[in-house]
Amino acid sequence: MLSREENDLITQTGPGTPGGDLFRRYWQPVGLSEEIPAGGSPVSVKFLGEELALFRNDSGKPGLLGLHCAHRAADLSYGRCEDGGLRCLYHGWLYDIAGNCIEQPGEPEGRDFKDKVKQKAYPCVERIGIVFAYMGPGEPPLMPEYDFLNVPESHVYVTKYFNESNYLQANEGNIDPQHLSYLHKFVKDDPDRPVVAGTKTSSNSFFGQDVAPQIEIEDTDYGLRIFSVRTPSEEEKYVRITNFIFPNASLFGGVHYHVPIDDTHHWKFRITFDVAKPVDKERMQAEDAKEIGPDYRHRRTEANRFMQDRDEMKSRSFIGMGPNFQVHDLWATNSEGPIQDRTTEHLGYTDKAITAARRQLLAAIRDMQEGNEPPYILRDPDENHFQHLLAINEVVPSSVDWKNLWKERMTS
Amino acid sequence: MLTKEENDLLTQTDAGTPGGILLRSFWQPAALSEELAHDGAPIKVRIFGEDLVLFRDDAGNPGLLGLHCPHRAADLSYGQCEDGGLRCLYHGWLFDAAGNCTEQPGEPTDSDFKNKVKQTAYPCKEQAGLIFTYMGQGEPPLLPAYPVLQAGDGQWFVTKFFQECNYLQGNEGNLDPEHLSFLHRAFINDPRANADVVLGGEASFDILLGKDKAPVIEIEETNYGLRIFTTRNAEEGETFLRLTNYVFPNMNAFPGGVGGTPADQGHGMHWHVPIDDTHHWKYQLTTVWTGSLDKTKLNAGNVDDLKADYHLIRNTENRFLQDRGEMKDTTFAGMGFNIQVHDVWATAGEGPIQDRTTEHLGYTDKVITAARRQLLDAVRTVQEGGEPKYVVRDAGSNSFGHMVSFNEVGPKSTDWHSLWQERIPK
Repeated sequence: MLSREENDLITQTGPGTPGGDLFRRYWQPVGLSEEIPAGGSPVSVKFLGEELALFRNDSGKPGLLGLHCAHRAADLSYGRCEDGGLRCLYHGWLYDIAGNCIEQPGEPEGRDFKDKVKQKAYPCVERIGIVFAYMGPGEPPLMPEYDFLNVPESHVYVTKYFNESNYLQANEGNIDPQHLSYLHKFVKDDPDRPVVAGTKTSSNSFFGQDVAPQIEIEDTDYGLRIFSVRTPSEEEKYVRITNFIFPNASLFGGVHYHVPIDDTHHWKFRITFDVAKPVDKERMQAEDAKEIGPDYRHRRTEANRFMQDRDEMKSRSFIGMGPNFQVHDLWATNSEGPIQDRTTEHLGYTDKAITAARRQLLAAIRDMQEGNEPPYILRDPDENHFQHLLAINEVVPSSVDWKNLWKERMTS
Repeated sequence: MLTKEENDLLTQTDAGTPGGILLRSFWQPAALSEELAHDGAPIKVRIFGEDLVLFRDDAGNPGLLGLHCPHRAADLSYGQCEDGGLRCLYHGWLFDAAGNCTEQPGEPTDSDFKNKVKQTAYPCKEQAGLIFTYMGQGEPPLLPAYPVLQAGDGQWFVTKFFQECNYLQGNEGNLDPEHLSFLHRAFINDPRANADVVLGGEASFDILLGKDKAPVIEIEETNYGLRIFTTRNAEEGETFLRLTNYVFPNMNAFPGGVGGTPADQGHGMHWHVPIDDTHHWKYQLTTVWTGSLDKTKLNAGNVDDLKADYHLIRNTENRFLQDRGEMKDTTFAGMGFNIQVHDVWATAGEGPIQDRTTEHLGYTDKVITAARRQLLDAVRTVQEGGEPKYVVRDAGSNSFGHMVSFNEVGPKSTDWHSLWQERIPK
């Protein structure tokens, strides 16, 4: 349970808010590469309450500018990508990706007016089909070299989902290992569901067999490592290691980034990857196409009661909303309200990772308010290694020291 | 005309407001039984500005809980009705109808955390096709034994209408006997004009309403609210009496219009339950003592104009499909024959919360004035920490046979003020 003031601190990310100042210090996904194909249209985007235009210049580099032209505020997302920048449709002013105004065709020759105009611009980096931006002050920190940001294109599937809730409650869902035993449970298991390494059993069966996992956490240099251990039999432990990546992501096998649009909406970026081999993108695309429209919005919404099917609840899934986990998570976190009121909640044992993550967020905000650089920001290339950030999903003999298992599973 | 402060006192019903405390002192309909099928889905409801979930446990008993799970606020209206309660889909917490948390599957077995968690819960009773709830403090009073709630199987009819306005103006429309001569008036091409003649008379109800548009209106205080006498001139030497009632705090009782004997003209009741300050549900209840209900007639006057979500097809967005041609020789208002539509139009048109600081009440509004006085008196009682009168706690006084409603024509010399005593159903 939080105080009203604490809840505001970690849920509000608009310009000038303490939480917004914190968020702006970290590289964040702002779009998918596929949204701005070469030669295509810019897109109107909104992040942390700021309206922006994301575009690709004619040499293929992504740029992120303030949405409204510095001249008379026309919408730049309708503009033309040409001549090394983005040209406004109203009077032809041209901006490069650094926000410099490089042409003002209507101004008299010899005037230096364009040199006095600077459009808001944020630096961008493109990795694995996602455009990341740094919206903070000063020199951008290093882009963290997480394993999943360094896989070949064939080894990763990325997409995003629109979410009508605050970012925080959605990421809190990722770091709560217990909901897997309910929200995502299948009353009857699919025969083709993937099995857990070293077994013939799906993770769903394990989640159902032990609905009260042991949960442990440890602080790391990226956030939190979360252990959830279920005991299917006396001889075995089913061990999952998942991670909170500060401030708004999680790694559980795949990765979710929850990026605020404003305080009551966010984009959930999904990264599904395999460091060793290609992933089956077609299958995942087909699964998503059943539930998500071309605008990255779910078809199931509160307005249609998520098409919940009471018969399905008896025969197939616990919640009656189809097999796609993205739908389940969307329902759960949206249903908490636009911004979950954390002054009335009751957190228990199963929520210990949530409690710890909030503590990290609140400490970082207080740190910043005192004028310090917040933690988990990388400036030294020697420290930019994250082999120790990994997920585990396997059954091991009871004798195994599961707290140190991740060290054995690290890639060199 | 009210002051701004008085208007706020009577129209605001959120938790903690004086008007909210007043209305919460009485059992109120939370939903129709038909909305909550056995073995079906819970439903999301909103009453007095509170978001709630109404469900049926596996024994079939209704329960009304806070909408959001006390754990991490997931919406319980999507939950599973099983194991003696309502189970949240997110982590499997289970709540019984009293709001006790009876299971927290993920917590360690030696934890007593569940005993420390209590979900908002309101007691429910199911009667005559309605699920009633008591959202007030302390021990619930008795559910009043109004005639309309005493009917046997097959002798009641209930439905409800969504209204985009405050509950009070909805019920005030019921207390004003005069608008029947205008808003609901049927002209010669309206089938209502040619309906059965009123008991003791020679003309139909709608013809009589058109004949005398300035009725004499009298009231008397009762232990449930107000008894309302409306008399109009009928045929030569005859008087047409309509007896209706204001039932405190947000109801009225009127002739059901479905029976046809002196002893049983049927009972009707409207119950205006706030969703929040600018929306409410109008529940419509109709019963007879003898015989069976004419469902065809009741459907025509009620549900045939409703969508599946109990919203009227005619609404402000389509200007109530008003037909100016129809206004010439069929209906006065040009909105069809269903008086529910007329009432929704009239009361919604007054604005989300009628501004009573600018109104002008006249002779025909004397019942409204009296009802407001009763409401304001009761609000003061509540503000002083007391329980409003009209709350029924003594089983011995829980009988309302004297809440009588009828339409009747007779000689002018009839003692119209005491006739109701002869019309109490035996």
